[in-house]
Amino acid sequence: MEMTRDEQAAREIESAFRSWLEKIPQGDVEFFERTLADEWHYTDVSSHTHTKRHYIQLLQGHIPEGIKGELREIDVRIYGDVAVVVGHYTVDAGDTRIQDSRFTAAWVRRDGRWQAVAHQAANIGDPIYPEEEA
Amino acid sequence: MTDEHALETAFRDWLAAIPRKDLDFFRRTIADEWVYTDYTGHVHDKAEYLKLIEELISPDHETELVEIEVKPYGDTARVVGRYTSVGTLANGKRSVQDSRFTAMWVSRDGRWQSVARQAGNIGEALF
Repeated sequence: MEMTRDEQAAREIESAFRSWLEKIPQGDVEFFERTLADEWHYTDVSSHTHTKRHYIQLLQGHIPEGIKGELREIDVRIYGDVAVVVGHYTVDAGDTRIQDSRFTAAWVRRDGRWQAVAHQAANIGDPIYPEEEA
Repeated sequence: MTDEHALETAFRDWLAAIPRKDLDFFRRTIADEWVYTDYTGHVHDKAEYLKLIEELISPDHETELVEIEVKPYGDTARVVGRYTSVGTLANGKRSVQDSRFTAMWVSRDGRWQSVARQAGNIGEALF
């Protein structure tokens, strides 16, 4: 069965996220130059904010060797040329899990390709409301 | 009213509606498909959020919008910002938050509705 435009868009964005996690340890600056919009707004797991330029600088100097990111869940919702994306990923360094995060992101379709315009991540911790987990 | 002004007003109204437990405001303002990721990385839907507001928030809650930046993309808008929230939860715990958020809103039938939001407490910088 032929995919709808929205299904195709969701597939493209999921693929871009998987590439993102692969490109971090490779330090593939060109990928991030293409994939992040100039106005990209990133809020990291400690709720500090970064621009596209700063994020690319961080990738070039602060990524431990041998890390491996894995996309665990993703939900892409298309609103015209804007996509709202929520998901879950982990990052391991050898046998040690160094990040287990959920994120909310926004992507925009421009000139036929998708670019990220916002991303916020949070490490998964104890729930605020333990009774809901019962 | 510009989209930027309308969305800033909506956020201020949102924070003011929390201690009042104004559930009608949240039913109107939150889209049915809303997905909320809280600062511990746990995910809630609209019904769960309304329940949290109803059952957990005390009237002593004080909230303040510290920063907001709205970027419209047609009928959709990216909203990022910072707010503080201080109060006692119904379970007796003291809640003090200084949080940054990323939210997405969609204009439907002439009004803005929130479709996603993630918040995180500001901690020690990683870098």
